[in-house]
Amino acid sequence: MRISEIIEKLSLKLHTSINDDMEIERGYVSEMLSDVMANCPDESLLVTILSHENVIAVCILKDIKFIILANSRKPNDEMLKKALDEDIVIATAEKNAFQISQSLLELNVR
Amino acid sequence: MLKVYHLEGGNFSEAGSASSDIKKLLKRLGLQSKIIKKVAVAMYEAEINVVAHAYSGDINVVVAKDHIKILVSDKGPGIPDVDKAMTEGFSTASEKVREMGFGAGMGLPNIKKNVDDLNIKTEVGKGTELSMRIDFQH
Ligand SMILES: Nc1ncnc2c1ncn2[C@@H]1O[C@H](COP(=O)(O)OP(=O)(O)OP(=O)(O)O)[C@@H](O)[C@H]1O
Ligand SMILES: [Mg+2]
Repeated sequence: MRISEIIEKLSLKLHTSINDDMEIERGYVSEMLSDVMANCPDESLLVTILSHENVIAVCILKDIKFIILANSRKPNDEMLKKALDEDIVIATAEKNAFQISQSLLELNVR
Repeated sequence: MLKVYHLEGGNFSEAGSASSDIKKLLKRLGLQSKIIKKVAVAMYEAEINVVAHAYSGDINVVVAKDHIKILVSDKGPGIPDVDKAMTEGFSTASEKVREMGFGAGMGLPNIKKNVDDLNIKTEVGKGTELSMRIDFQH
């Protein structure tokens, strides 16, 4: 499913632009960055409540291009700036990580 | 090729920039993405450990024809029990560091999984020296 479709279907609030509207097939949920480093499949989307710039550093290294912030979290300024620099899409959901994962499963993102 | 980076304890917003610089370099050199990922994970975890647990540190990266060597040395508290520190789940990270998403106790195990050779020299009260090598051919 394309990033823009996921954003629309889950009614997410977009914080960045989408310059490369790529297909995403896999997702990962985590609040621990070394767990993301170890276990997140490449090119997945990441669902998290971590809303600071360290998340972007990890996304660069793991080729993660799309972050969904759960529980209405907003990226801090530095996170947003780095995401814009690196063409990483950030969007916010009102739902929690569990509910977001359920919706993503229905869209065949697993 | 030799690359040198400096790290400051507590400076989390800069952490990861050395590893992403090396990642870009290896990509330009045309290395397999599987190898680049290994280097990125190992180097990032080492970088974060200096920022999270030590006072300051230096990274030296040597890119050779068939391998990469990364030396991360820090001034810091050192590691009293290296075997324990290598155990998945063991962490002394502060509450503040945990809130940022660190402290799962997975960094050193992640490093071990991704490198071909790992050597840790550490002295309590002085600092830690982590040297690792990743081979390009497997
Ligand atoms: N450079 C270092 N200086 C001093 N202590 C260290 C250093 N690196 C690791 N340690 C010690 O080893 C422990 C385990 O390190 P490890 O990287 O596996 O986990 P962590 O850093 O606590 O959490 P995570 O890496 O999952 O975010 C640390 O909590 C710390 O006590
Ligand atoms: Mg660590």
